[in-house]
Amino acid sequence: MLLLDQYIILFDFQELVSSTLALLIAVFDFLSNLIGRLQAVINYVFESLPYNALNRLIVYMILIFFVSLIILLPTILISKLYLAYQKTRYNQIHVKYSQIIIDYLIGNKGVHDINDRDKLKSSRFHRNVMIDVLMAIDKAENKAVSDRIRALYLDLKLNQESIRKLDKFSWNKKIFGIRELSHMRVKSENQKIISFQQKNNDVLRIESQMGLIKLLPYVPFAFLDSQEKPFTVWEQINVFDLIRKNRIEIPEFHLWLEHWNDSVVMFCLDMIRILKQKQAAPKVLELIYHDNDYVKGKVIKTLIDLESYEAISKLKEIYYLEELPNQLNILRSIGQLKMESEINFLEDKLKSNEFKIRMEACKSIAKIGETGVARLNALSVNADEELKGIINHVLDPRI
Amino acid sequence: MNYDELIRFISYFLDKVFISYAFLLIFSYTGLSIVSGIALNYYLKKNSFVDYSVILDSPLAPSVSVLVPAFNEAKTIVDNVESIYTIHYNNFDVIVVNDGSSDDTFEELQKAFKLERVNFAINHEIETKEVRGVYKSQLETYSNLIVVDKENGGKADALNVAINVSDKDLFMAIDADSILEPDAVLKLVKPFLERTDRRVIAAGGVVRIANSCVIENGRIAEVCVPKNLLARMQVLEYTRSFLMGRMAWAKLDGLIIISGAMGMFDRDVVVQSGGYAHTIGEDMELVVRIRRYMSEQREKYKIEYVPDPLCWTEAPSDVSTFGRQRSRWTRGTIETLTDHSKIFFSPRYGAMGMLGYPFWFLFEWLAPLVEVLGIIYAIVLYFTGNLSLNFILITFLFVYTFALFFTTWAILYEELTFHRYEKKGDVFRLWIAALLEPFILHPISLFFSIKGNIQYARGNRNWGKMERKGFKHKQGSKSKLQLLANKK
Repeated sequence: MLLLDQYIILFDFQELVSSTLALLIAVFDFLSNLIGRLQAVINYVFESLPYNALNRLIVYMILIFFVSLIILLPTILISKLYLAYQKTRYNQIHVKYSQIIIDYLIGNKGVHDINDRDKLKSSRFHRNVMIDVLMAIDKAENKAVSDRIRALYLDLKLNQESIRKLDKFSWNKKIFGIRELSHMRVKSENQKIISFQQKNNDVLRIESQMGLIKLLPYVPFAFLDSQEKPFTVWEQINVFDLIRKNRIEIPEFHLWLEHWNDSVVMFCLDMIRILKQKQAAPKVLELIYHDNDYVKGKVIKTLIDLESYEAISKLKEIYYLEELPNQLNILRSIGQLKMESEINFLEDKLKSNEFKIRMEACKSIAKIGETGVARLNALSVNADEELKGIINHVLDPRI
Repeated sequence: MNYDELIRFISYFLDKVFISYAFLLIFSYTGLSIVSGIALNYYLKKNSFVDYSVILDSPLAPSVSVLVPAFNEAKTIVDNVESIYTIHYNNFDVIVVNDGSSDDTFEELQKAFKLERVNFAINHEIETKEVRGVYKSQLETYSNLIVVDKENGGKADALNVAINVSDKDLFMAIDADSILEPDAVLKLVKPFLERTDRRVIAAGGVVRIANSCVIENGRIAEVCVPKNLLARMQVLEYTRSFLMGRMAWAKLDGLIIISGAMGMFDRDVVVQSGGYAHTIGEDMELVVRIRRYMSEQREKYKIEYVPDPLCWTEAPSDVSTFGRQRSRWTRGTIETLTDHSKIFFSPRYGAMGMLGYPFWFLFEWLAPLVEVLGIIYAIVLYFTGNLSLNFILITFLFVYTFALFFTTWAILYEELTFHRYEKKGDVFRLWIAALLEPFILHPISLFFSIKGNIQYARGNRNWGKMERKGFKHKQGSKSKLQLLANKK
């Protein structure tokens, strides 16, 4: 039987070789024939047209477009098929490895029982799918599970694959490496990841910051010290999200309030405000005369969110020196603290010609409560049309 | 110089002009396609690491107003407003402006969303026609819906009223019939968050054609190639324009148009530059004006472009509606270009002045005119015996193979990037449409572009009537309002 099988295989192989050769010869013949005919057509076209450079250029360009078309069409088809194949293959291996890892985690298998080790050694594709599976399962937020997954990651020597990615030329490969190493808490490559912070590529920079926050849980914001490039709101949002979702030591953000990079200062002000670091209020107040209007705007918001009542006198003092956005911030802030004692200051602002100032002052008066509402009702009697409209707007509970 | 010599000289000169123009156009488009390929590749790589959900519950995310001008949209307005509520974003409101409709647009809105008149004080930062009233929904689900009823003043006026009513950081202007992808706002907001030393003043996204697509609960449930041939050919046109043209222009910092169907803007910059102008092509005009304003203020800025398909719209499926749309676009382009002629090759306006504007002038405004003149010239030469039929044929073949090659390239980009036409045979159907496009869509488009030029020269500045056929809704799909009603 075995002999018969071998014979069949041998027979098929011989058949295959001979038929492939015949096919190749036929294709070659067809192509030479086609090229010959094409050459004849070009010659005919050239003969029928006056001989000049323009005609030749046009004909050659038609040929270029035509050949490009012939290349593009199968490219579309092949890319479509290839993408579908890759997706199916990935999903199949993903499902298989997920099952293996789940078996390992619920105790059915030990680290050494994981099969497919040979495949993992030889195939980069398999290694990457395995890393993806491990990272996906590790999102369970369970310390014991996380430790077992990390042990498996190291045992399978997948960290070497991740480290290799850091040295790749392509920046997106580097990012995969950073993500994997930081997720698995592999700290051996920290220096390399720190070096990515000075790169011009913003995505790589953000990922290195995020990676360092995870890898250095006791000094997660050390990267702020050397932050030279603008720290964009997008980066800030990602960092804040990481703080919320992970067990990360939250620093005293007032430590960076004197940073030379204004975007870092603004981020720290936001963090102080959102995380209610009230002890930072005196340091924040020192920034009230900052050169940058945006920083000043954040300072005003932060002081009020920290319920710093002592800041009110300073805010009133700088009010007249400020541009419209910060004047509005000051009026809004006073309203937020609901200080009845400031009602006259706010009422004075209703004399302004600026609609936005009148609106914000009215809103702040209304926020004070019954006294404020009563004052607005009284003011409405002799108010001009615009102010009447604003008061009605503010007092309408449906808006 | 005798008569024959004069004719020969003119002929020689015109030969050179037409040929140079054709080659310049082909090289420009090829160059743009290469640039857009590079930009798309970078965007896709970058986007693969982005988790947009972090914006959703972040206190640092900006606030957004979605502005919807509506004129005589009674049949579809309720469905359309509902579809806006499928977007994923937290800090936003929706401002619908009934621009003095003569049908029941406002009444439909009032009935469906239980609108109640409120004492809304509007800050008239931009001058507009009179506002009759501001209304808010009593339904909790639609508590952030504001409806403004006003005198008719055109789309630009309606948008300006909505800007006056808005108090958010950014606004997104959409057409009443636009169907947004759920993550459209998140994706358009992101470029504003990435601001460094250059202020991001606007962001545009890709608009796709929704004809024949299946719509369920205000969302695109199934993407289909349009059954109507005219609409199908417009799919190719949109793919070329949005995926290849605009992507490249954004990369080159020369983008001067963000589609009126969907675009996001920095509210303060728009107000400071005077809001939407009462022109036919108000979308393009606004982009040119805010760019001009920033350049004149010597402020560093940029306009971003998101190549993801974010918005779906209905394309005209009959020749007369298509023709009206194309004539209007042509008039809009001419109006904007002539109003801002100061920009033309002016280094003060950067890439917009040196690249974007000249390209639009040469290849968007002048292209149809040059093409028609070229055809007339070829006919004259042929009948006077100065041009052989063979030359005409190879010239035609030259243009045709380029058009086909360029469209196939666009289909390849679509397949390699967003791959929205997933059904078997979709690509083949699109390619067949590409084969026919130069014989069907192009001549029609050319005719109406010329008509637009003539209308402009005659002083026609009307917006014209745009008839919508409406979308195909999946049977049995219930709207949020129906679900609310069933609950009660």
